[in-house]
Amino acid sequence: MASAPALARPRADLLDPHEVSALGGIELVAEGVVEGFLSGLHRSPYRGFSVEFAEHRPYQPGDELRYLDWKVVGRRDRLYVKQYEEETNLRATLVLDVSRSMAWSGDPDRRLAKHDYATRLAAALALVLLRQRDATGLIAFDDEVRLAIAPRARAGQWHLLARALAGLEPGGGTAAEAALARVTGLLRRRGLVVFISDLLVDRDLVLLALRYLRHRGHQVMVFHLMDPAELELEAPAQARFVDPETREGVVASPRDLRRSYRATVERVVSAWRHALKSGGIAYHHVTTATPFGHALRRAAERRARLG
Amino acid sequence: MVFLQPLALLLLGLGLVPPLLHLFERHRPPDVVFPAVRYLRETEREAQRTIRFQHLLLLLLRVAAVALVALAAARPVVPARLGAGHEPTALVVILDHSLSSGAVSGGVRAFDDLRARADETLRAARPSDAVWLIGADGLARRGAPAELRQAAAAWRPEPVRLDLSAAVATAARLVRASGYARGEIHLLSDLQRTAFGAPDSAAAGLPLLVYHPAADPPPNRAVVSARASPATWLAGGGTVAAAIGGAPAPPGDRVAVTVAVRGREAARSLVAPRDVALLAVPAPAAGWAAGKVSLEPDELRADDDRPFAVRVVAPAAVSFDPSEVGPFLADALGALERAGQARGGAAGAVRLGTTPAAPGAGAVVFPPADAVRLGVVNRSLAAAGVPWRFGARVEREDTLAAPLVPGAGGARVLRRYRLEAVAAGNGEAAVLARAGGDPWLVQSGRTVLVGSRLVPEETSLPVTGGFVPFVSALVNRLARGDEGILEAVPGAPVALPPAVTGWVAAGEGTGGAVRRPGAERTVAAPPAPGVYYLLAAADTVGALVVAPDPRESDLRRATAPDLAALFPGARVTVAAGAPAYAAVRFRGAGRSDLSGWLLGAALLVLALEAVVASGALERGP
Repeated sequence: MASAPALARPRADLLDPHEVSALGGIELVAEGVVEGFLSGLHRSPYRGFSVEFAEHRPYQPGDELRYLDWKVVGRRDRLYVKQYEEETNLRATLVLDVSRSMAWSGDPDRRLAKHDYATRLAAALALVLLRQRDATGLIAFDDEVRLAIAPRARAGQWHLLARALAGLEPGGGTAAEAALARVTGLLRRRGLVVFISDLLVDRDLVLLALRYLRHRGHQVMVFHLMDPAELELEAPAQARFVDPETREGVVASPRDLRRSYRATVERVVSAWRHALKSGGIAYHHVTTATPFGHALRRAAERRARLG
Repeated sequence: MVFLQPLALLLLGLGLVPPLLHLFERHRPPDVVFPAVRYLRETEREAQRTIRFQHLLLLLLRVAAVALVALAAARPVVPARLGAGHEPTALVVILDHSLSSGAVSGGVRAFDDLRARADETLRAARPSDAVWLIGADGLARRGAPAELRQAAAAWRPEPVRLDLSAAVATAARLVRASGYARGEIHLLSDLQRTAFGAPDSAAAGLPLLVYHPAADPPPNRAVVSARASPATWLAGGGTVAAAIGGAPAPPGDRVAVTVAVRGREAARSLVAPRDVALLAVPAPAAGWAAGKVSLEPDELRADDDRPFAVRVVAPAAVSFDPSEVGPFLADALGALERAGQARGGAAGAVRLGTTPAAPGAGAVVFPPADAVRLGVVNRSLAAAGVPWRFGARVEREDTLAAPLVPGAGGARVLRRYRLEAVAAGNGEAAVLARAGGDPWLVQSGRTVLVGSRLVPEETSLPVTGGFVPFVSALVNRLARGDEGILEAVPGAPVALPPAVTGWVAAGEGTGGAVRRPGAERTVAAPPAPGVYYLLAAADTVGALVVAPDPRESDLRRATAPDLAALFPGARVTVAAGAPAYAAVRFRGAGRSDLSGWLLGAALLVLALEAVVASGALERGP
């Protein structure tokens, strides 16, 4: 049971992502975020408890009381729950965009780069999934698949994924359709695909690939990640805006275009949302200023809805 | 519509700056890495028409703002609605009709232009206004506008100088003392720079409206000085020194100068402007003579002639005892005799010594070398009816002050006898030179008393360069009863010599009107330039030459910055030309100055520009 001081401590999942990331590496951040996230839930997300006992583990807030082992409580005066072997029936794959555009931050001193945010969010998602005993894998791509870890539910999978995420560096261009094709090959059984990207991609091709995955019976969830500075145009009076991937430039005056740009972005986001929704794909628009807990909660809610 | 500052319209050219900047802008904007370039490109493509319109609108607004500010700086005025009046105002009009206002430029006499402006202003004045008119005499006349218009209509350019600084100071005093909440000083003048004095803050805080004639002043030549040299001509003639002034002239330029004496041309020469010419003139018949130096007529006629006076005499006959006068005076008289300016004594000669002359004859009386004989000398002076005597001996070094006698001023006196008037009341006016404040050289009729012997032991005068001219003045002028030649500008105060009982204009002869001084010996010089003979009873004893102030011949004008500096603190408005002057009269009553409206419009345009520039008018797709 949580002590009073523990309740007063701020929850890492609700803090500013930049501040949370300053606390340590990906693993530490993800664990802190997930602990905070889970402590805020009314019931444990852990499911799949079967009748075959496997081991005890310390009670965690949110665990159902019916799984408390009262004998152990009586003997040792400490709370333990019984854990059972369960058969994993979900295979989740995190598909992460590590293109060069993800390396950008509109305010490096106060906000995480999209890449840093995406890797920490992916780590937190992986931890949640693995604690649910879901087999979780990872595919990272830019203009090619850079990393592929097959979904597993074994004990060391979390550390494998965390180290892989920590070692990822933003690379070249974006060719998500190839990566998604690879995902199709990797996911033989139906499962969950979590696609994290800034969606600065060939929209039609990516939509086609995602719909194909959905057609194959996968649950597909898309995190559309943007920097707040990509939502609101904030730049000098006039500048040549250069795409970090293609090096193409556009001379524009933000003062002239601010409103129109905002409308364009809203339209793009709306278009993604409608296109994905019509294909039965979950869509979450997050920014690098969105606390990790909010993103996790959206994912959890959607996941619960999808079953 | 009239522009009070039409030169400011040149600022309209600045309206081209925004379009030129727009056309020739070669600025390369900084590179900014931005992943969402595709959104930006899409936005720009869709908002292109709006942006172009916005840029065009900004350009037009900026050009309009510059144009409006330029127009406001030019101060346009338009007629106001009918019946527009002004608040009761203390109005002082300074109408300059000094000599220089007679200059003709572009076929128009400057004074006619100035008077027309004065007439307009007085016509615009209302009965509720307090109105004064100041003329070239510097006097302020208060009256109804109609009366003052009538007075101004009778004025003509006068050969006098008007001190404009003093006139403005007088006007300022009148406005301040009027009790009116509003006051205006109108300066209608040809604005000669020489007509102003030192900067004067008397008009600080008051509106000073200065009319600047539209026409430039004409080039002018003038005789700025004319004198006979020496002042008394002896047989054979003399010279006239004439200085030519006026506008600068190119090198080699010459003007024809003519000298006339008693109405007859006596000499002619070509003289370089700004030079002094010495023209030899044959002596006319003996007696006082009036002459003039003339130039070819130009656009300002009043300073083309300048009078002078001269007395033509036979060399004085002198008699003296060398043992009484000493070697230095004897040598000086010898030099004068050799130069033809004195001759050996005979009957009626001027006597130099320690005794007075016979009645009717001239004498220069010195103190005796032996003090024991002083009583004898004084008794002989009393016997001759001379109201002066030699008094106590003074042995002290003093400096001579002798403004009326050439050559004597500044010399030192080491030993002297104090000259004392026998009868109180007739002494002061006859004093011609003083030493240490005491009379040293006095004149009574044709008898002249000198306080020291002319030897180096008693005065330094014999060893100075002015000694011979001094002796010449003693024998050829003073001992003959002459009062010399006085010079004055018209209207200036003149201190008449004691013997003068009246004066008459030269050329008027014995039939001319003789003007008599009153008890006050200082009189105003006649207003008309010319030569006036000074009379002692029926004898002519001197001349008064009245000529214009030479500063009136310099027609260069004060500029607007000059005027602002000359009247610190005053709210000086220089109106160039009649329309501009009319527009600012009575603080623009009857006219509307559009400057404020234009500046307001410019501010409005700039505010709109700021709104457009900030993107507030941007329309999303």
